Amino acid sequence: MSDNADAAFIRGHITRLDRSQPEVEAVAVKDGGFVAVGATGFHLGPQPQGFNTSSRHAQHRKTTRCALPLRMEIAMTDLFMALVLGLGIGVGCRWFDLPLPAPPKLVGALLGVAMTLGFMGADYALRSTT
Amino acid sequence: MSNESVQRIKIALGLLLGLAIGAVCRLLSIPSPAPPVLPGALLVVVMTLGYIAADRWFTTRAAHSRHLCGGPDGSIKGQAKQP
Repeated sequence: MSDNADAAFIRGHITRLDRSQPEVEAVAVKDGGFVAVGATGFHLGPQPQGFNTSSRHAQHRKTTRCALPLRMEIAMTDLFMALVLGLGIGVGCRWFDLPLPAPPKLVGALLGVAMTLGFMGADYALRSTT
Repeated sequence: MSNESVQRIKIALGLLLGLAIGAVCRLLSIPSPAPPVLPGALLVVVMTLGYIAADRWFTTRAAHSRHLCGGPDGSIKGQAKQP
């Protein structure tokens, strides 16, 4: 599959737009294009120029140019759609006079946010100490 | 001290208590009564904002099921609850 690859990037965390295989560990590159993607153990062919994506340089490239922007874009789109849906649920519940699955007053909702922030802060503190 | 100032102080204390509850839940590995991630909490906030906005601007009918809504409504002792 990748017998004449120019370079191979292995042991990485690579995000793809293909939903059938959204994340792979390795890619093989030839003439500026991908010739193979898959797990780290797939056949790379004879003597490709290999890059371990766990290395500092590859990690930087992966984070800044590939994985992070795409992941953030998907996450932000999902979050935006969820917030719009939540807003619609709130409006719909009031419009049809249905019980809302959330506090009907802003102070109550902010109490939940405060608990979440406390939970996240303690989680961050625990992670940074270990 | 005016009644409004007392209410604001109580609300601030409630928010601080919420922070403490969340932190203690994480430190003691107790399930949190609130979402463990910020997007979940924001979803609750936008639902509440949508409800309040519709209540204020879009609807003219009275809300008969407000008391059935979920979660804490932030009412403090002595504060009259809406029907």
